[in-house]
Amino acid sequence: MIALGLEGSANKLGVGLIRHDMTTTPPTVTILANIRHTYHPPPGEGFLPKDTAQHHRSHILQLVKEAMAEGQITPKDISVICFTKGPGMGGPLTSVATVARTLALMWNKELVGVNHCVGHIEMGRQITGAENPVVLYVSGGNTQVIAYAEKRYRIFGEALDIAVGNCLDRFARVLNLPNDPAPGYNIEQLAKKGTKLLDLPYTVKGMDVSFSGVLTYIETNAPALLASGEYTAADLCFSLQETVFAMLVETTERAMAHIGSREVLIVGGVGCNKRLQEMMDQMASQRDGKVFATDERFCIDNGIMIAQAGILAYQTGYTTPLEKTWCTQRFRTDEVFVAWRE
Amino acid sequence: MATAALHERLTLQIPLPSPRLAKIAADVLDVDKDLKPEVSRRLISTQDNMLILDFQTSTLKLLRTVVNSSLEMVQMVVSTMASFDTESEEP
Repeated sequence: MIALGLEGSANKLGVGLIRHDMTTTPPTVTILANIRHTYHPPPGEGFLPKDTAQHHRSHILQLVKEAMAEGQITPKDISVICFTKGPGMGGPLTSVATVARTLALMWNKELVGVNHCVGHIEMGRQITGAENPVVLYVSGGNTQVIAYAEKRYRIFGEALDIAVGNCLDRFARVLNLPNDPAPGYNIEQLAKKGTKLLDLPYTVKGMDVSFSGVLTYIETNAPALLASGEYTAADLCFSLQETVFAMLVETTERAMAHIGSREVLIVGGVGCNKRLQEMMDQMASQRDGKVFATDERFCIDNGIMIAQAGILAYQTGYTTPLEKTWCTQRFRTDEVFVAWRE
Repeated sequence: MATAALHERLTLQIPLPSPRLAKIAADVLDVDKDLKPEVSRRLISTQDNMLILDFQTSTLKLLRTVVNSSLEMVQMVVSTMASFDTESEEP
């Protein structure tokens, strides 16, 4: 069976086509297409809902056409249409869901509304083959430490205020770094040239983390520190990454200790960061464990993860009736009944 | 508590190529419910191939806002139909 997946909860618009060949056990999974178009605001700015929604509306039809051409798929080949129900930004989510609904009604297909976080987790599991890892989901919009138990992805810990990616992205604005390809990517590159570590607020509260304090501190003090010549922009990027990533490694380790897991799966856009992967790997190795991560095709928001999570739900008989295909900015990861796992 | 009287009204009649497509458009749009029904309401219906949107709001500003965002979604539905409708391709 073949699923079309549509994703647009933030500034990345993704369309994916995935095939599950049900004649094998387990089914053979093939990615037929996975394309994305990203909205980049000018340096120093963040992406606003209205502009982001407009970007998605402008590009989605072309992306769907390209995906179907690349996968050599016609409407009759598609078994189910999956879209991001939430969490995320309202206007962008609804713009994409509107297209999903229209296609479903025209082509007479079922719809599956997918939780964005579960999409990341399921694609991470599929690509890496990690058995039962502690999942660190880190992006511009989300920061959660997750572990699977009894049909739910349980949130062990999370950011109490802003996501780690949001903290990084907003600091990139202070430095006027380009948003292309992503502010976090540009911070990562600049951080590689940093040598001096600035002591920054470090806030871990049990299983949870908090980033608004370190962001306020570095936003407030950066201009003076840079002007004084004591620290370079590279030093500040380096210091911020080391601090926030250490916080994430600490809480991930705590979760591993709690459930006795030896696997960490890092998903979400911030999961592309090589320094984070390296730090996590150092911790995991000390515990005889292993880190799983994917490349930018899958850790950055994409349509294929929505198709994957959607098709797994669909295979258990789950569909979303049309009247329930509204979108929601808040959608907890543990609200999803993970029927497809033991 | 008395609700605000929804004085401001606007009706849009949008012709679609067929009653089938008008019905699909109506069904797609009607999934998204009014965020604040006490001050802004949208009623969606069809008549043959006409998609009818009835707006009732308490202020002109709200009327402009809801009409604008609705038209953005109507445009999305209509362009999706123009690009991907298969039924019209069948002989």
